[in-house]
Amino acid sequence: MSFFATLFSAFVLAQIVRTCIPYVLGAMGGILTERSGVIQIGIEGLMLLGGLACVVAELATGSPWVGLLAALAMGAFVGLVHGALVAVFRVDGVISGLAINLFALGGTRVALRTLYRSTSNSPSITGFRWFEGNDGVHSILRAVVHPTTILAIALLLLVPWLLARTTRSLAIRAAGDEPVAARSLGVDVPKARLVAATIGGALAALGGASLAQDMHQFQSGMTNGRGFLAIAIVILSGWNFRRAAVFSICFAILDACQIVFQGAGRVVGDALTMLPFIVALASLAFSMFGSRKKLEPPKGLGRFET
Amino acid sequence: MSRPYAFCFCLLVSWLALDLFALAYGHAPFEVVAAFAQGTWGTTYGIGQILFKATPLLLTGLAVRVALRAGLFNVGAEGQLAVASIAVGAVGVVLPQNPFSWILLVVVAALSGALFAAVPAILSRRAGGGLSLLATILMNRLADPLVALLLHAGLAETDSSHTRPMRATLPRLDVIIPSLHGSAVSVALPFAIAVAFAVDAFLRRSRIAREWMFVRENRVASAKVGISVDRRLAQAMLVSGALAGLVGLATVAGYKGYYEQGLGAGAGFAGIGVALLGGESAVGLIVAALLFGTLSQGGLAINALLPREILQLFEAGIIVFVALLTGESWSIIGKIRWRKS
Repeated sequence: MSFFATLFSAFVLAQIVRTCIPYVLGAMGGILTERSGVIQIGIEGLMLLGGLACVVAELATGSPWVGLLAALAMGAFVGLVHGALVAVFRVDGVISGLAINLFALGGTRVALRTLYRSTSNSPSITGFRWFEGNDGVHSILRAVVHPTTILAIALLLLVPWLLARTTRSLAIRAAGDEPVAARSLGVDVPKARLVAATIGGALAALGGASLAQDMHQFQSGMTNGRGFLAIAIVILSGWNFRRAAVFSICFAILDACQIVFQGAGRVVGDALTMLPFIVALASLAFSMFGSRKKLEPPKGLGRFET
Repeated sequence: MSRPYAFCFCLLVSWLALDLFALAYGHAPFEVVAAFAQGTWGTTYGIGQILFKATPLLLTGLAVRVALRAGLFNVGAEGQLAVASIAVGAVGVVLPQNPFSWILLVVVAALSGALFAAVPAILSRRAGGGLSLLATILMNRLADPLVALLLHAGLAETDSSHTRPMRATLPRLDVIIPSLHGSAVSVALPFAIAVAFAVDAFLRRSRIAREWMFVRENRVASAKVGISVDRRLAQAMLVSGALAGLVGLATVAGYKGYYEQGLGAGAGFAGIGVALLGGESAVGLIVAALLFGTLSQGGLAINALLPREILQLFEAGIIVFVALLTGESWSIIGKIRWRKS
């Protein structure tokens, strides 16, 4: 089969849909948090913790829905702690984010060893058993009409609208753009940032849960840099949700290349693993050196209200 | 809170946390703490292993510190040390065993580390701290497949996952101090300490380091008084990468004698903790490196009782704690716009 025929086969298309969801949700979490002025580079860790919470809850209760809820709760909690450290206690957001990543890497291993006596992966979960079947149509349906996919699309429509159109979210945007001015107008900047960081954390963790649902288990370090690519997407999109979704699909296509060239040998495989990161770096460099007036971060990112 | 107090506070909280973890896993706290102490500072072998583990941590801590001096966050020490390690492994195969080769290995390690830091360095020139931070993270993720690719493409010995044994290796310290016999600490440790004091002096006395600080504090004003901001930022990142690259001497040339994937991994992230806890002085960084080395060795000592990854949680906790207690904040993101205005 030729390269393009494989790339556009039903299985690969389904794969692209499934792999772009963690990117979309991770980037959405990052954008929402940073639009409130809180630096968030802990998306990788949030995704790992979300995936773990999802798998543990599903194995304990047997319901994938409880798994998704657990991931949301875990992400909200970690996001809240991050928000509190950064917005209230004024710890450098970079440090707190790095600590989330380190904590997630170690913490998920501790949990795996304690709960399942394994250092690498959890037992497998059944997940959502919708549209079972082995042909292309079923695999596409399974990917598109999947709860996490539907949820991600709904959130992608809802969150930007809520952030742009509601009075309550005005506080979040004000805290992110002009924290000092917002405070002088009576906006509770730390509170707005806590809310944004909490919801953002939940979104990113949901991305990890969708990854775990996709792989039908939790593996140690299974995000494999997707959280960091999500941060790259946040910046490339210029902190814009819809553009972030487009970039997510681009990175999902790059991921799919690895499957298309699976039989081409180890060296090609290694090179393809590098590909998304090279593309991310190159496009970041290009966007910075090339364009003039785009990609400005929220003006209050990393600044405080006093 | 000043740094020594923060250090003591961290020790106290770590000890309490270890006790709590011991209780949670159904062991007597004393049993776990005793095993920890026995495996770390209790034997000469344990001390040697701590010194061995502290060597990369000291170097990566220095690397993070140097970058922070210019307001840049080098989270990429992990990738820089991996690439430098494989370079040291590859070059060490063809060099004969003599002191001249050792100097050449130092040069190779520093250059390859700096080379891998070149991308963030270039990005920091135009785009500022936030983007170079992300670039160092992405370069980390790039390093793993790159190293695997190099190994698969011919650097690895046939039918194995490591490079060919080196002829030029660094002597172990047990040549001088026989009681350290068996532990992997090599002359890379005194070398790293010398580097720490040299960097300390450089940060205190050189014009470049002073200008790094000006750039960190106010990029626009620095440009106005004639400092070439772009060049200083790129220099800081390159020096930082070179220091991280020196880790390859301790792990590859000083210990294994060949490179295998994952050798030295983790030191880059722990180095951030070392830099935060240690502050800017050489002595502070050495003490912090010893603490993190103790944690890492202690993890192995208690592994039979508790999962050793618990100590990784301690590293994350210490990083946040120190940042919380000392109230320091350097990152360039909050202070300076991304592009020069």
